[in-house]
Amino acid sequence: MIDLHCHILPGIDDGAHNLSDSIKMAKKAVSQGITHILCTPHHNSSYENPKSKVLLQVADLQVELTKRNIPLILYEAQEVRIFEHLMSEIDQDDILFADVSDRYLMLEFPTESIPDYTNQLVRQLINRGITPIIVHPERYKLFQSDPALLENYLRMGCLAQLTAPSIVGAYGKKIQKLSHYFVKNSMIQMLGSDAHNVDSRNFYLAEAYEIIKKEYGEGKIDYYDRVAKDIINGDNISLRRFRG
Amino acid sequence: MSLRKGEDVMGIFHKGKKDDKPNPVSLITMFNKRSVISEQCRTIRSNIRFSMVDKDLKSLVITSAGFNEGKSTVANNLAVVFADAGLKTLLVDADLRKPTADLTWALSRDEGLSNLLVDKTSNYENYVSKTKVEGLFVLTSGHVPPNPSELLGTERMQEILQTLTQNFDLVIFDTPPLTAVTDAQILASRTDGTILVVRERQRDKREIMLSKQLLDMAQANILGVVFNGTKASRDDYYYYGSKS
Repeated sequence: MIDLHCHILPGIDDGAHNLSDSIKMAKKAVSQGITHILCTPHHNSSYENPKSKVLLQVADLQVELTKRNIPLILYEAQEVRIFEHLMSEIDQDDILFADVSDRYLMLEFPTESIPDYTNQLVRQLINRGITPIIVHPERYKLFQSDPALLENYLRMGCLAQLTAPSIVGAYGKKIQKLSHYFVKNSMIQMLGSDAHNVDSRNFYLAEAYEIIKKEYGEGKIDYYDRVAKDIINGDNISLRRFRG
Repeated sequence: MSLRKGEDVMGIFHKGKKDDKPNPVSLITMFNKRSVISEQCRTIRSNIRFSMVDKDLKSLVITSAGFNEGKSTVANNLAVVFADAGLKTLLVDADLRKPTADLTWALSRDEGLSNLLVDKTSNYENYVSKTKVEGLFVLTSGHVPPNPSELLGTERMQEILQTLTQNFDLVIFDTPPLTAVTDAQILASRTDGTILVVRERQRDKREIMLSKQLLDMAQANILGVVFNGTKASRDDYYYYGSKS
């Protein structure tokens, strides 16, 4: 399995605090059946993690994993909080994409409200050939009040990533219900753990896959797996029509 | 989220206290740049900029339907985040009836806008104060005059506005409520953009509609609405809770 969303890098955001936390997380990931992790540290006003910094961190942690014979391959990316000057940071080469061809970008909104300028910014990204991947749509208030609004972003050309613990129920019934709605209506194209530690914000990726397989069939899981690979490789992904 | 057709909600603000006496406003954007409120302020800043991409935005009026909606809080904090973004910003306390900027910034109210208006030979430089925020300047109300609307409607005010916009990148006016007096209308008709602050559960719809009409009559360019005082959702915990 590939985990497309993880705060495993030590000491650079609210995920792993130190190397020992990272190793604990890595072991847990392996026990879940995860073989590859896309490292997505926060990049926002609280945690500034520009590309150059993340690249070094990923290389360092990979060395530590190899030393300990932990069979896990790390890739570098960011979880980018939407902000006004995103385009100029891309120009300055401070932004990391999910793939080396700079095609897929993990984009996060504030929980409370999605800024009005989002549409303009998303269009600018798409016009540049960048596909924004909206992370944890199930946690935004806007989509909680009207789940169909996510469709607007999908129509514009965004993708959406569900957080595994959400569908397992780790964040409460409301978010769990919404997660099922998104899965059922094919409004998300991939999963990620968004693991920050091995306690309150654990992986749950295996559990989520199990639930989805049971309720919606193996087809969905195969699709998520393929999308994850395509994203990491910067390949085209085959889109399924949402709502059925 | 939108209050009514045609008006965008530019951002959401939490908390705020109620009192009839003039009080200094909380400068949370200055003291806690990482708070959710500060992020909302920056989002409002970005929304304003994106809404004015085609035009030059040099002067901005912040007003509301009635009292206690948070105009001054929004005006002062927006001024801070605009200055943070590198704009030479001037906050003008044009609420000559219930001024607060002198209290907020610990400045004298003896000399300010009203003096500048009355004394035609005076220069704005003598009345504008520097603040602790790099790039942010404040012009207090000055002595509370008997005839604020009249003063704000004079040719002299037009002159002052011109001088100020020539010397600052952005001039933000804190004004009295729309439904009480005509001051805000007068200023809104002479500036590039107007923002209406609406506090949750404070005004009924009719008063807000009336405010919109008053601004339309003044041919104000309404950029949007800042919705103030909503309850922060508990979901924030999953987010940048310091816990995680």
